[in-house]
Amino acid sequence: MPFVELHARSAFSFLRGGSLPEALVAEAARLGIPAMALCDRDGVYGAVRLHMSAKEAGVRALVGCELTMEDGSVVPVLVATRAGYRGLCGLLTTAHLRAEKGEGRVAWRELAEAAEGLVALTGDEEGPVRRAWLERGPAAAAEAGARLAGIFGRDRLHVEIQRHRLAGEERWNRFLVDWARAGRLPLLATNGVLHATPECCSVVDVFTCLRHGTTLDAAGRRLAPNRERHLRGQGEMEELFRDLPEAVANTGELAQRLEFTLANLGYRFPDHPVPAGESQDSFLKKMTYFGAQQRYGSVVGEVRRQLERELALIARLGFSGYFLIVWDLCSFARERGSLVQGRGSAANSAVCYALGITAVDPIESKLLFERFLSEGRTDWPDIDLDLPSGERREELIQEVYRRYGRRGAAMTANVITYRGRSTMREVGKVFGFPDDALDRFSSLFHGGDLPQTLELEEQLRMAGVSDSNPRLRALVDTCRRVRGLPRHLGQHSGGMVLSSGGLD
Amino acid sequence: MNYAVLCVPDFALRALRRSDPGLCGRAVALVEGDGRRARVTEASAEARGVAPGLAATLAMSRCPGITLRQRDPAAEVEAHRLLLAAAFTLSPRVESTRGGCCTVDLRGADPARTEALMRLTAAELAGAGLPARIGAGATPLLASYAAQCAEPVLVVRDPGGFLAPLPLAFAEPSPAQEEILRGWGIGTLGGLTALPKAEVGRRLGTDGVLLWERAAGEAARVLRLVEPARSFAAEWSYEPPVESIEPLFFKLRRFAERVALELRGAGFVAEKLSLTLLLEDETDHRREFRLPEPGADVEGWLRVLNAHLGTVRTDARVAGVRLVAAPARPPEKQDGLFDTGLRDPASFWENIARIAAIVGDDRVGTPAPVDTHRPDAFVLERPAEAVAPPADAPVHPPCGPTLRRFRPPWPVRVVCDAGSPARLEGGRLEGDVRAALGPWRSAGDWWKPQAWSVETWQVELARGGVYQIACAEGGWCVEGMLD
Repeated sequence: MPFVELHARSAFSFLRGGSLPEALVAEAARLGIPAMALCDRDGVYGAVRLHMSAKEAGVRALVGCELTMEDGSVVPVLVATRAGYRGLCGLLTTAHLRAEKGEGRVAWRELAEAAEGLVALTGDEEGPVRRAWLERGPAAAAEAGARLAGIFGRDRLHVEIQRHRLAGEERWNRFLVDWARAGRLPLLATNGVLHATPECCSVVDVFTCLRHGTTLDAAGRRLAPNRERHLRGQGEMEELFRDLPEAVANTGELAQRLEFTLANLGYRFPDHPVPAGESQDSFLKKMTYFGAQQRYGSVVGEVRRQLERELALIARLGFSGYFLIVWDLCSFARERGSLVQGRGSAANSAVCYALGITAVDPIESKLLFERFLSEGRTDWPDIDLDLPSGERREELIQEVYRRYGRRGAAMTANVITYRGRSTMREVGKVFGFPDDALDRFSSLFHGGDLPQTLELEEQLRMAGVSDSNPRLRALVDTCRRVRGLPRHLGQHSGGMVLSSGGLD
Repeated sequence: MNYAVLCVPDFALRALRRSDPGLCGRAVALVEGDGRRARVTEASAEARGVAPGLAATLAMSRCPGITLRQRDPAAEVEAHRLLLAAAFTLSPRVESTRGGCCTVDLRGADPARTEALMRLTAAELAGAGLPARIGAGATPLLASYAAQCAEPVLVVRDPGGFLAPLPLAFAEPSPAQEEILRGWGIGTLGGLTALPKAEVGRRLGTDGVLLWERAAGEAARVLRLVEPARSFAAEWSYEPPVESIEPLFFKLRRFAERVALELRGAGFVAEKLSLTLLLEDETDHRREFRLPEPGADVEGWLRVLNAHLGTVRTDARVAGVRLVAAPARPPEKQDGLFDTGLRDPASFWENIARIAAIVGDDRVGTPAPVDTHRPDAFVLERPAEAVAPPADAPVHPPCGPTLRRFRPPWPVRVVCDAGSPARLEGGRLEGDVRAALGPWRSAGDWWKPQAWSVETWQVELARGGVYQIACAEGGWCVEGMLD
């Protein structure tokens, strides 16, 4: 069986991983790894980017997550089925909703309740078994392992073995192998990947410092002991685990058991409540024609042909409910005297115009409907609504929550990435550069996405950092690696996601 | 006992003798003025026949071998600071009344404890070359009279009885008042205060009332308080520069005495001392000493300083010296039941200082692991004075063979086969490798020019013996032997 890396963290673990999902996929493809699972810390934020890039690279993207438990241990779980994905999202939502940002913890009881469709690993040095072994010895480790086995059963718990070329790690691995064999649990070789390539280890070290609020000089043993936690190909893993070939082989077997990928997410947009005897399509048609009569006076000729064409396509793609929901929200806003108007490519739709979502007649303006929606499209159409900021918008947001429930609607998140100035400021501090030099750099470095006309070294020189500074080269190299990586999540000003039933 | 006065008779002379070891035991007099107009202002007890007011030439003829010196303002400042420091050990409310005299507000202090403290302070000042007299009384004036009569401490509990026999001069009458009172047959303070104050006022006016009040020791005044020292430092310039260390020792002792008193007065002790020798060529020699135990023990400080000075060689003469004490709160600790303290910490630290002076500061101490992944990285830390009680048994006790490290490691050439060591050559250790375990890798400091990475193996040689070898930037080496 081919080796599959089933425990990798990306930069979407926020200060706990050093590479983007795309970089991990590219390296996996280069190494000939057929599939890989992304287990970011307390979230599945990188799963979509992994899925999209993996699709292009011909790598199977599996979904996983590292769950921080109530006792501080970290349990990596892999999603085997759609039910497992639902359970995982439910666990994460519950944990995040009841705590401050970044402080969410999963209760062991909740994990037991949502374990269906999930496969657990015993984890790395932060895993419950390793932590218990380190702090209280083998008996406590076996006890912690037994709890995991009690939740997931022998068939869905894998004993994770990692080898990072560290002196003394075999003592721990020997315990794991003995314990797994005694309990007839399968071994699983992973590399606990934190960065795609060895060179990216510097990013992990910098992130470790940022997480602990310290500098590279003061971080000491909190930094990575070596650069071994990168992706490895099959040959390298077989060599590393030549005494435990089953641990490598089991990765391929387990990957086959993990049926779920984001390709079969099973998302269903919520239906709009329609009167008895009406379907989503018929009700949309009725409201569209009603609106068209208001707009055009009579629905004949070109107007009728365009509306029929659009309605047929919308019905065929199953988007009728979506149009009705947007129409309903616009109506709600207008009833309360709030200005609302669709914008963007939705203006190309005569249906949107008829429903009052947009204000421009696309037929008169000869706008191309296919720019908005076309036959080959499988994702959701995008109708942006312009709303006044402040209380009016908040009123509409709260109405959405009221209609779809606390777990049925959510504000979307923005991924805030490291930009030029923030990168230099944070990385520079970690490197121990003085504040005044970093302040000068910030004042000289223009923000936004405008292209820089000077090389980073030149800009640093202008900020007073000497060419002969012994750390300059490492700083520049690390800044280039860090730039563009996710820094934290922010809340979008108005973007919302809706789902029938519940988002989780 | 509301006030105390600390005063040093012949202050300028005392200050001078305190700063110059060459004047010790010799006949010395201070003179004022130049040439023939030079007059003696103060004379030491050894200067027989010499009294204030005497012409310098006469003093020299009366006392052959007398040393005549001008006043030394720097020495007086240093001595006055010592006096103030001593005063601050009695109370935080101190007035710098004049050179060689300060007044202490003792209100609220425990009388018995304060009296004992005053005797201790007087002894300490005498030991520091500044014998002071301390008087205490209900008013600053009374305390001042008491200080003039003290030997060396006098507490006035019965002001009437104390003042009565004192000469009228204590109240500092004007010459006219003195003449009038002498005409009345009054020569003591008691004689004056026996007269009704109002009648004295009627005959001598307001000045007479003030004189009467001074004679009764009643004159009250508000003290002009001074702030205690905020920095604990002393500095001296030598003119001409000195070539031997004896003057330095002497001066450092004086500094230490004063700075230790200042620290004690402020409720601090010193945790480290900083010594700077200012050299004639405008360079300096600096050295910082962390004290074995934070404290204000002058002898302990001097042992550490002397141990270092005994080894110092400078390229130029010493033009000045500066001593700075870093203040710290006095340590409060109670040794554990099983703690093993040093029997004589001072000697221990003195010896450590001597060793450091010979081998260098960076080569003395207790090795402690550094917070790094670098194998065998350690720093030398200040040795602990007490051996901590044994820690709990580790969860994972060490197992396997013990590594006996070679320091420094033995360079060796390693022949590898398929990435694994196969033979060791060219060093103190040679032979075929029967079995190799590894590699273990560690790396760090990648952000510095001194980035490092080490690959470690454990090898068993065909001829016997298990060794740990490592490959770093400098090539292969044998790190040690596994027992």
